[in-house]
Amino acid sequence: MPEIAAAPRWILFLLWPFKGESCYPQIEGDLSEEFQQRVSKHGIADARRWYRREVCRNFWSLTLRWPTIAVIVLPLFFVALRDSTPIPFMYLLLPLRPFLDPLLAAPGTAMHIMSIIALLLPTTIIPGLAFPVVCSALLRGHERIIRLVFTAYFLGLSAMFGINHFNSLIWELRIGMGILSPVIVLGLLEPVYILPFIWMSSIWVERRRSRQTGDGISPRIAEG
Amino acid sequence: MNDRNLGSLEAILMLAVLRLGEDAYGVSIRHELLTRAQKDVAIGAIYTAFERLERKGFVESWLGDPTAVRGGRAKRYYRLTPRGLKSLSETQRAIQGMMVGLNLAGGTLNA
Repeated sequence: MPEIAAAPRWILFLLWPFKGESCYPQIEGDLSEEFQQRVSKHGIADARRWYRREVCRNFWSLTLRWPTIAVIVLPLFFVALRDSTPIPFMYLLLPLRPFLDPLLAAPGTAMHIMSIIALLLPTTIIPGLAFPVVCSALLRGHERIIRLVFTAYFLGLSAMFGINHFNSLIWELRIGMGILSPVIVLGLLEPVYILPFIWMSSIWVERRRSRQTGDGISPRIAEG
Repeated sequence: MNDRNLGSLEAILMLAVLRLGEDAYGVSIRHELLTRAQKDVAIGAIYTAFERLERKGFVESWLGDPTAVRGGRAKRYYRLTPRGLKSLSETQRAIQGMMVGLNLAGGTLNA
């Protein structure tokens, strides 16, 4: 049996967002097969160059098509939806005031833990768990791109928040308050407490789907 | 867009599948496109087009055996469905009908 040359597989990191798609195993297999053909025809250096170039071409061809563009736009819609819904949700909590008020008015705390939970539940925990599930149901096999897009959006929103509140940050530090107000801290650290929920939920959906469909790889032969 | 319409890449891919017969899978289809149509298409674009064709019911696919040379990945073979063959024949008839009396050799309209 002829020896199998090693392709520069590190470049496959570019295709990582598309790994959950049904055609991904075939794309990777075709690239490997054609790489081996090129090694025997043109030599290893040429084959490696070709492999790197083809992976880049495939990255663009998989990115510039409607499902990927939809995956980029859909999370934006959900983020906008989330940002417009917390206040009506808070009104839904009003009947619970007799129970919440004594907790919220705990002495010596600017913002009680219960009020933080009441704020995080509709804006973070529920959307963080639900959005990836809904997006994945609408656009099957794109969980990785969905994760990346949500991550980019929330990091971007946090950066925007930081820029918008830059003056008050500096002002608070200058007058020696030392501690930033909870609203600013919560706004700045939003990615820290929403992204784990998004990633957890999205990875769960992806694993569940790949268990149902299989990914077309034979572990026995791959190891061999 | 009408589900019966074929894009140019889709039509070429279906012709490649037809020509290759039982051996129509990613690499062989790409080679066929390169040698016969002089089109160097990324394999990702080929699979995207095939997904579209499968949704339209023009082709069907099945997985072959995985091989070591493919890193343990299976080949996906394609074949045309009767509906796909009919659509391709309609496209051929339409193009042939429109081409009558035209000579487009060398990328220009010759009398």
